[in-house]
Amino acid sequence: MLVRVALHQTRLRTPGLGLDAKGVAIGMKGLVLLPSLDRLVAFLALYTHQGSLEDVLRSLKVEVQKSRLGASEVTLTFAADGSDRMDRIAEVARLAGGYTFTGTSRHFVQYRDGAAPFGYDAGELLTEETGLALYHTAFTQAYKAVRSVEVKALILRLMPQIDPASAREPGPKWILAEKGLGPALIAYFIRSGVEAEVGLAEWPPDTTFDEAPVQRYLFKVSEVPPRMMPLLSGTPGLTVFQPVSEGAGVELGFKHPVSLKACPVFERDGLVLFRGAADPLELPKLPALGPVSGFARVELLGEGDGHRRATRVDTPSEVRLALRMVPTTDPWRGVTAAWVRPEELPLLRRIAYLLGAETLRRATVAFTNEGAFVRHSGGIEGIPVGEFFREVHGSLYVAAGYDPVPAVSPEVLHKSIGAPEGQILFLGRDGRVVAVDGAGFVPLETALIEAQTWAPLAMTAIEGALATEVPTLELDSPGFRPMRALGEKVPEEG
Amino acid sequence: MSTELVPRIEALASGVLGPLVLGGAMHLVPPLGPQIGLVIGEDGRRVADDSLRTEIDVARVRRARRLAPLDVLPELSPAEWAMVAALNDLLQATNQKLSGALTRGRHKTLVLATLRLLDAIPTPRTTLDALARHATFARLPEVQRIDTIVRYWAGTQRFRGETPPGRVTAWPGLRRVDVDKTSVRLGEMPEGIEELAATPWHQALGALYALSPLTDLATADRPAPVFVWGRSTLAFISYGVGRTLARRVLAFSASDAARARVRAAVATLPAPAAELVTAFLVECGPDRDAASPR
Repeated sequence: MLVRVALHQTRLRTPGLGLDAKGVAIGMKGLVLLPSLDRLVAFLALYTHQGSLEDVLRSLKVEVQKSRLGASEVTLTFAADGSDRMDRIAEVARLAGGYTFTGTSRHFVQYRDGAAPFGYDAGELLTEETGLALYHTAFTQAYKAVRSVEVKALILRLMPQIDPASAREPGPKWILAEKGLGPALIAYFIRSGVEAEVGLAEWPPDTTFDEAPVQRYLFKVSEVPPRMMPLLSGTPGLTVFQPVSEGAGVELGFKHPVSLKACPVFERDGLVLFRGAADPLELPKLPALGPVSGFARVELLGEGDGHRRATRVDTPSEVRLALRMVPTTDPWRGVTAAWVRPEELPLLRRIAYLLGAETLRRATVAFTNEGAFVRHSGGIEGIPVGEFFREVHGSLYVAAGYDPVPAVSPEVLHKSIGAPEGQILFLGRDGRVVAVDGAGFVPLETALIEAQTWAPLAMTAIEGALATEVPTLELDSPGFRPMRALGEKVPEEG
Repeated sequence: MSTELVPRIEALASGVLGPLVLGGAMHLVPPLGPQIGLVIGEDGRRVADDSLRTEIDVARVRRARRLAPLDVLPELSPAEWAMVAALNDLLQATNQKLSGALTRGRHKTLVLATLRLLDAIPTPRTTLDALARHATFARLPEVQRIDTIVRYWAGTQRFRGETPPGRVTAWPGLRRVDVDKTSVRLGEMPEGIEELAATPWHQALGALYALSPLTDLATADRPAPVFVWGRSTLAFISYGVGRTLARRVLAFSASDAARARVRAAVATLPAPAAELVTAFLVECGPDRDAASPR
């Protein structure tokens, strides 16, 4: 019934069959005919062992077919997607005892093999109105689909196989504990310092007689210490699972026939746990997991005791140091005051004539027996006379270019001096502190005008001197009894 | 201190102290004597008249700043008040109206009492004290008295330190009035009073000068009393700052005659004091007359 497709043949009889770039006869779909479900499992196991089923899975359709003779067989239909994929599938199908066909709708012809490198074409098509027509070199058969089979359901129905080697695989583990064992296992992990996350999973009751759902503790342990493995594996009620793919785990000591890593049929958010001696447990969604440390036992102390309050606080033993001034190489900042010694006051007077109006307005000055203290918030550099001071505190100035040692904070330094409020303190190079009453500072321009005691201009003084009268004695009568202050009692004789 | 003294002290301030520092007519108060003179400056005595006090302060500072860069001078000390009182009594001793025909001995009594007062006044304790005294008494040699002689057709009248009454000088053309005014310097004021001739009036004035060493040096050219190196002036030039001020007062405030007199006064000193003064004069440099002929 089949004829080999020849080289450079352009016409084919089978509907939906065509030639690809290599000249191979191929349809839109591929089909694998397997005699039974166990062969299907064998096919999947072999195929996933070599590569991923992910690209095929989207178009994969598994159906149980029934022939006119009543025999049931299994077909896998998938998108052909070129001869490369078809060649790989044909090899695996041949190994699993199946046949590979290609076609588009209902007529499928045998895929190429060693006898026909370019494939086959049907010499005569079946005219029966059946669901599926398969043309093989050994037979031509019509099939009718009985039911379809989901791959996920098929995989879930597959029982894991014993594999002792899997018990020694490192890496993270899922641990399922019956409800009664969960707290003890949590305490055990906390006590042993094992980092793990725990959640409480629920399953529907096994039977309708059970009212409450079945609850089990689910642990996710990043690394189980080897010493714990015998205990975890041998304790009834505890089951350790090895994660084999996203959303799937197999009990330790077993392995799934199909490589689940290459068969991503499970939800990523869920979890399917394949137990070796029981049905798999499926969680559509992972329960909320939290660190086991959150379940650590907390013991509360009794109220009113347990904490001790200090009854007395002693001051530390006195370690008082004399304040010293040391030169510093730090750049000068905040130099806003100057101490003009009495011998420098004439220079200040001369400089006052050269100062700008703004400087005169903003600068303040206080006169003391130790000299004049000039302050200027914008910087004292504009009045280059005297010893400069920098402001380290609101009312504390330190000689510029010097730092006090020990290097205490300005607040502490100001507090240690203990000056009353309103006193402006000047810490000189020799460590001596002088205080000037803040109220004594007056604007420099006011001091220049009002301070008759220090700033009368020379011209005024000359005028005053020229206008000074000569002290002239005018003698008057000293009055009655002028000598009474000297003890004269009565007018005495000369 | 008795409250009745307060008006007299205020009169002393306005009549003697003020004119002494500021110039003008000097009106004496009745003699105070040593007991009052020593105590009038106690308890922080100040000139009550604010205006007068301010003017005195300014004038004193102005005077002091010729020698030192001072901006503020202390208030008048008790010693300065006592010196003012002594000056009042010394000048009052030259007042012929102090005594009558039967009380001529008052002049001598007053001079002796003033001498006791001056002996009781301490010499300056500090340089600032000496400078303050000089600021107050620097114009002491300038004190003068105007004596007036009025001659007219019927005779002559002498007025000693007082202004002739209007009736004496009335109708000058008709009465052929001739008014002759003569300025009498401080050292010459005792002249004309016979009772003062035999009294140590000049000694008392010299003691008053000696209480202000800087004034004593600055006015060394006075004819009377003649400058002599005394204890206070020798003490003043015995240390550096005092010598500096003394040098300045001789350079800026004293005349050539005064400097010459200071040099000449060395001759009367004993050897150790003469060496001190000689060293001071060497620091002052050569006499201007000899060094730079004009």
